Formats: sequence, C-alpha cells, structure tokens
Amino acid sequence: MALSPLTEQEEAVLVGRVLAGHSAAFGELIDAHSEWMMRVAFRMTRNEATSEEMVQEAFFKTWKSLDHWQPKARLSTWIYRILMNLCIDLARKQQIHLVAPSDDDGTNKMGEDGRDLIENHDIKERVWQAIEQLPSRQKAAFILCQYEGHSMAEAADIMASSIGAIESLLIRAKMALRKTLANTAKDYIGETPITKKIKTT
Amino acid sequence: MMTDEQFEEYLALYGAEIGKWPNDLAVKAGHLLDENPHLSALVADYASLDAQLSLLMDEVPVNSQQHKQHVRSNLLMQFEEQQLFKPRTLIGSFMTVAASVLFAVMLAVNSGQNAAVAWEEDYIDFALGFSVEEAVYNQPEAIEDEGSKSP
Repeated sequence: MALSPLTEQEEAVLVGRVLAGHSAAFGELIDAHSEWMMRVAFRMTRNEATSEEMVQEAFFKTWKSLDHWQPKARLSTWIYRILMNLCIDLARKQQIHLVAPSDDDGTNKMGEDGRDLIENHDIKERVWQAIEQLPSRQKAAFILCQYEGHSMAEAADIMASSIGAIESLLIRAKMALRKTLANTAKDYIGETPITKKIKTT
Repeated sequence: MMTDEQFEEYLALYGAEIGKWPNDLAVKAGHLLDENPHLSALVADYASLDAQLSLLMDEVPVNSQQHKQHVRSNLLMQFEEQQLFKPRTLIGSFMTVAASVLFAVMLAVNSGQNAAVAWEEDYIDFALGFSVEEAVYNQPEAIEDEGSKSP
C-alpha cells in the first residue's frame, strides 16, 4: 500500500534538504505523511489529542534519526515503524486503565426502526472497545492488516517482525475478538447474508 | 489433513469465506466440513465477526485540515527553534558577529589614521604660514622665476 506520494528519489532529496536545515523541506515531509499518520494514530488511540501528540512525536523522532536512514528502505515504512512503536508503548502504559467491556448483554436493543442509527453506533462502539482491549502488538498488527489494507509482509516490515509472527498475532487477535464480540454478534446482527449462505450449503 | 484447531486458525486469518482462502487450504477445509458438520457453527461465528469488524471499515477517523495544520505549525516551530540552537548555526553566528566587529574596528582604525594625517597636515600649514599643497603647486613657477633672473 503506497503511503507516500513521493518516489524513492524524491524522498532521498527531501531528506537531504531536511538534514541541511531547510524548514520548507520539513514542511513538505509533514504534508506528504501527516494524513495517513493521523488516521493510523487515531485508529490506535481513538483520541484526537493523543493522535496529534503521537504524530508530532513520531515526526520529531523521525527528524532526529534521519541521518541514520538508508535510502534503500522507504521513508514511509521508517516513519510507520516509529509511529506504531509510539502507539504500542502508549497502549502498554494505558492497558491497566482500559475500560472494561460493559456488563450490558445487549438484549432488548432491537426495537423501533428509528433507533437503528443509535444501535449501529453502539455496535461500532463495542467493536472499538473490543479492539482496544487487545494486547498492543496484536492490536497494531490487526489494524495494519484489517483496516489499513497492508499485507502481512508489509506489516512484518513495519513492525520489524516476521510474517509468521504477524500471522500468529492476527490469529490470536481474531480469536480474542470472536470471544469478546460473541454476544454482540447474536444480539445485534443476527444472521448475515454470509452466515445464511453457509448454513444453507 | 487439517485439524479443527488449524481450521479455526485459518478462519481467523483468512476470514469466513472459505472460497477466498488459498486453493489447497480451501479444498482441505471443504473435506473437513463435510466430515464435521458441527464446524459450520464456527464458520457462522467468524462470519458474524467479519461483519461486525467491517462496520468500522468505512468509519473515517478524525482527519480534519485543522488537526493537520496544528501538527504542521507545531512541528515547523520546533524545527526552526532547533535550527537556531544547532552548534553549527551557533558557530556560524559567532563567526559572523566576530567578522563584523573586526571589520568595524578596522574601519575605525583606518578613519582614525586619516584623521591624524589630516590634522598633521593642518598643523604644518599653520606652522609654515602657508599650505603645503600651495607650496608644491607653486614650486615650478618659483623655479622658473629664479631661472629667468639669472644672467
């Protein structure tokens, strides 16, 4: 998945200019990467202010370590790794403060049609909460592959890990989510076209 | 052969649509499902999970222009501050200031010397009662005059 609109050569030139102290070049670097970084940081933290902080910190760290960057690696992967590490560290620190899933088992939620929108929002909220409860590396691998559209190889590159390890993280993440969201699935969604199809075949 | 545990792992990894799995795995999974119909419930569970997870797919998280601008301006300010206090920049600034001071001193010394020379010339003029310049200017005439008077 292409994250940066810049080619490898353009990235190398830009990095050279940033290292020479050109603030305009640093501005270009921010413009090229801030959008996807904000999106990923928000998916990881679910907090606007924290996402901003994470992105700023990631850019700052990127700049400070730019002289170690080798043009053979894509700059976006380098930045991604810094950002994900920051988010994983934050998630580890916050793990003990995570809100426990609601005791409400979701019964009696399906009612009048006018409440569908609120209920849909409620389902999304439960799914988000379930994702937030995942251990930080599982969560990172899951978000990269499920929502950011990365292949397992790309996720492995970003997380400085092996494809096998990413596979394992994804499997454990999905199994944990299945357990957490089992009730929600029955109460809110019922039978999906996929489940109907499977049952009839 | 595929075990039940492996089947669940593949369900978690590739999703509930077994037709989309890698071919060899899909064939093995098909055989396993034929032999173990109770596993269909597990497939249904994962199908529900996939449906729930896909609800967040189109949910665009915060990504407003305002947030990007905020991040951008903060970072550029930090960048510029750091540039000001970079050792290389500090040495450069020091060298510039030192060179300016040296130039100013040289100018002052030079103008002081000029002033001293001018003052010295004025003093000689005063002492002789005429200007040295006038004397030099008039000198050829004086010589010519002296020559015309000689026999």
